[in-house]
Amino acid sequence: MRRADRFLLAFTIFVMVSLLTGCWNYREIESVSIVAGAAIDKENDEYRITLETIDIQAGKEANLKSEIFEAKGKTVFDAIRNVIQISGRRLYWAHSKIVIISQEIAEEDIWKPLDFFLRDGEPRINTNVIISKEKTAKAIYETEKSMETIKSLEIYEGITNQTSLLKAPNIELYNFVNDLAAKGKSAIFPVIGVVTNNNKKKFQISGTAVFKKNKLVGFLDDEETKLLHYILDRAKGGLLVGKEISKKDEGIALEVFEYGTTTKIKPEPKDDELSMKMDVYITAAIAENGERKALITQEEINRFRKEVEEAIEENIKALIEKVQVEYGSDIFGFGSAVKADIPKTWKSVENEWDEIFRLLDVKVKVHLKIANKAKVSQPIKIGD
Amino acid sequence: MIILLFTLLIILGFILTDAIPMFLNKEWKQFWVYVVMMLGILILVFFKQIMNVTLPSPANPMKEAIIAIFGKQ
Amino acid sequence: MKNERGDFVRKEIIADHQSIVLVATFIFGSTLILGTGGDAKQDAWLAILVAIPMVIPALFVYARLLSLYPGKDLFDILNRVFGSFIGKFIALFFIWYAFHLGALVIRNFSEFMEIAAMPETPPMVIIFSMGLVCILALKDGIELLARLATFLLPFILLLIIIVVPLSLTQAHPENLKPILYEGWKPVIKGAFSTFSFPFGETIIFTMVLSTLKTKKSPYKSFYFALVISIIIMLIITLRNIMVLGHMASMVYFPSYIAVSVINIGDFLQRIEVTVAVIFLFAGFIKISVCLYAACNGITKIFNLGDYRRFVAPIGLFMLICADNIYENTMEMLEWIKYYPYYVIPFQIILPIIILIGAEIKVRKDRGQGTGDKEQGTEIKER
Repeated sequence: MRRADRFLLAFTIFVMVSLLTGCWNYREIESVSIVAGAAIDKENDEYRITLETIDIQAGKEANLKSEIFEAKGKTVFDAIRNVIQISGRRLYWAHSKIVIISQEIAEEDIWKPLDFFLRDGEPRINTNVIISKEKTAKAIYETEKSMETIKSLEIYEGITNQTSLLKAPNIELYNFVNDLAAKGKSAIFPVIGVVTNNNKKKFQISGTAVFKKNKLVGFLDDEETKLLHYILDRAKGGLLVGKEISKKDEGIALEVFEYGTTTKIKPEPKDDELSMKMDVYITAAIAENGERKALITQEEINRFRKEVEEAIEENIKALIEKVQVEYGSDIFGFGSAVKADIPKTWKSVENEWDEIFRLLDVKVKVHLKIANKAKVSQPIKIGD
Repeated sequence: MIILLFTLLIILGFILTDAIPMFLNKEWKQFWVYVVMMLGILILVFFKQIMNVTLPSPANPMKEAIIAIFGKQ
Repeated sequence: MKNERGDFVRKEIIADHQSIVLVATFIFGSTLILGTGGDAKQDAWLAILVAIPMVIPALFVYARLLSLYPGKDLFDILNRVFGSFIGKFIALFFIWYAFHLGALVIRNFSEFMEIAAMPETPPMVIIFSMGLVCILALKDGIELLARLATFLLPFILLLIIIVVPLSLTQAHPENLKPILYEGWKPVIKGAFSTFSFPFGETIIFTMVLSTLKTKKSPYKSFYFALVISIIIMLIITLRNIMVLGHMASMVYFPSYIAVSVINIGDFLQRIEVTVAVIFLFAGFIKISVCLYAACNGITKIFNLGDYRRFVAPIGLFMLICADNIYENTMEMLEWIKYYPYYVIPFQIILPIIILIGAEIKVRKDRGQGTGDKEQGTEIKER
């Protein structure tokens, strides 16, 4: 080794040792509070943020404890920084799962509190945002915990497990932003409320919050939300039961499968009149047949299938009409369907889409395919 | 301040590996060009880090020239 | 050959596959992060395809220049064709372009790191740590860089091959529709900016690839690299639009955001750092190539001998330039709008003029019976 090389080696080692020790402003895990979720309310022109943080306690078993902090501020970020006054630590947002927004804020302008969560580097853009049906969003954090020690994670699980329930949409922040930015599609968020269950206050995720532009205009209940999933092609399971599938409410439940369940929306321009054609394909199994309806021969199955198809069609039509009349907000994305398939027509109707949507004629056709009847082939006969 | 010290260290390191061989080989032209360049860097970093002088960026005049040539976009 | 220290220096030779990889990595390097053809919105992928007919002749010009004078780079060619004085004058422009481009790429890199990972670190620290690696690598020569590129490319491709299918779980093909909603105009505009960034930037390689093996190598490296990089860019652009929809043109670094929403079964998530790793590798190659071009040019026109000894000061200048060039990210993005116009002389006008001059000069030399024999001695060996 020549002298220069030896020097270069020493120099390189020195530079590496000084550079590779860590990041510039490293933060130890003990010195930050990991945020699991937040609830945002408005009180006299000030935002009040309620945070749930995770405390990791060392020990034989890793213990997770949650703690609730509350602070006020002129903006959401201001309120978040003000939390330091109480917690003494900086907050770390990269693991936050949910943000609950109060109804009051949503009615006024949902984007004001949400901008921080999209813009800042720490919160992730696939955070789940939920609208609180209660007076305040904070009320959700005052309910009792059940399985998990951290309520935010519990709510997050509740939202993501909706895939087999379909009673609230699983909308992530960036989905919402896309719908908000798109012309011809209005945004939705899931809804959370408080119920009393077994004498304990519990949260309940159910229903959909309907937005028009950036303002909340109304809610859909669980059953409507379930149908909404079929319209939006988001149905990946769930049950169809009771009134949803028959007029007589026969106690039959269908379990919907992910494969073969899809929805196609096509605009049909005829002369000057624009109408939509919606084909809903559902593949399902008979999961419950408590009424012991005879469903053995092909004929019986076909008759039953027709009945179900008609019932679902009517329910979907009723939902679309309700949204058209009451909210006038195109949450189904009919406008974007028009834009995607016939962009020329969209250009001419773009500006009057609000009125056109309200009077839009939608033809719904449901194609049900009954895949199987689970384990039981014959309806159970009751003997003596 | 840290950055200035850091730059100083880097420059010293490079001078030891690059400029000293030039000096020993008596390649005066290369040696002086090298030293002057390094001094220039040191002065620039000094101005930026200690005196807080924002050095003029070439981006803006070029942008204006482009607007003048191609018209406003 | 011996250098000034008295060591024996092998002539640097770049094999064909190495130069292909080098050019390809250079092309898709910062495009993977910044995205391209933003004017065209959901038709950005179409803009890339439309850009191809513009790119092919441009690359022909660059490759033709290199193959007319094998073993020479742009600065030698300028010297031969236009004489010492005018040649050096034109060379100054190209040196500036290479220098400036290098600074831009470093700045892109530091802005990305600032936003994505380390918002509180002073940008100077990020710039210096990246730049020093480039300087130290380049002090061992361009051949090392070419070998490093062939070593790094498989990792980049592997990451892309793994990550892109994962993001398909979040993809919505309907985001691509409607195609050509606003007509061809934004697409053409997007194609124009795609041409200037990144395809036209390969003009830098006329200042770098002087040591290829055969006369055909330049064509081979440019066109193979074009195919590789277009495939990768198309995949990434389509992925970004399908995953992000409107957000793809709303955010600064679409790939990073598109990967960050991957969440498979709650355990395969937060893998956006792979994007940063790809950019780290590819950005390193791109910065080093630009730095090499600038050093090569400066040492050649000022007759300073071995370029390796001037990598450090020129590189440090480039780093300081990178720190000063914009005030903030907004200014950077604003400047990217003007970039296609700024590069017209470097990427289109001057190369064509030089090629015409070179063609005339080569024919004249051949007619006089002088030619290849003399070329080797005219410029001093290092």
